[in-house]
Amino acid sequence: MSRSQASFRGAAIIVDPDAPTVEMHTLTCCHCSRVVHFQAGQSEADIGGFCRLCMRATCGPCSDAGTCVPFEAKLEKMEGRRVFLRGVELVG
Amino acid sequence: MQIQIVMARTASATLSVGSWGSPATTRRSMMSDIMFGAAEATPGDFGFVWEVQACTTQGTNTSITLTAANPADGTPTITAGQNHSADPTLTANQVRLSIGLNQRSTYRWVAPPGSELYTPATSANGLAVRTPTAGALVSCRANATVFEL
Repeated sequence: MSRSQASFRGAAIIVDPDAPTVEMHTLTCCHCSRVVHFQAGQSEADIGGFCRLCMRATCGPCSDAGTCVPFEAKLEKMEGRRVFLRGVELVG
Repeated sequence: MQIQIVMARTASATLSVGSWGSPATTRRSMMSDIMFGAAEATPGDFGFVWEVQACTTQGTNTSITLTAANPADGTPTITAGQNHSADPTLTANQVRLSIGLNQRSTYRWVAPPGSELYTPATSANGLAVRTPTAGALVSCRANATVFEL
């Protein structure tokens, strides 16, 4: 993963009194906002994919879907009804 | 505005630990950090599956009084609750985070800047923290860092 992609990695830690502490990297899919856990050295094919329009990593299912619908676009669609109603002055 | 939301309940496979969502005045929020695990009861050697899933209503819960981490920021407007008696209306295929843990484990996730979990500015839309698989029903707790946008 390139250095620029490394800046998009999150961190997860599991502490168990009966087992060694597990630390993992995470990435947040740019299409569905799902958190994907992975460890250093894991195959990139197992982690997910990469959207060349968003230039961000995606999860496996979104990579398989093959379409680019950024999560921001999905948020705007969810908010769209209220924006429309506000536009026609049906809500404040 | 940074808000710390602490949610607790006796684990249930059908009812959420807690949830938060946009107020009627509609504000986006983002979760940057979450920590969960078994709480003060003695956990056993059982499995838990923890999930953070999008929801469109907040269900019936015990309301949590939120305060901003910085007192100068004023009073948060997003709503949060715990110990649901009626589950939030969950959005299918919108499980944002899912992890299987031993009941004795504690888990923490920190999002990278720009890749937090966002919720839309739609009334009552938010995220719910759940234990859809709970091997033994002990007290559990989740602590989320949420920013009201």
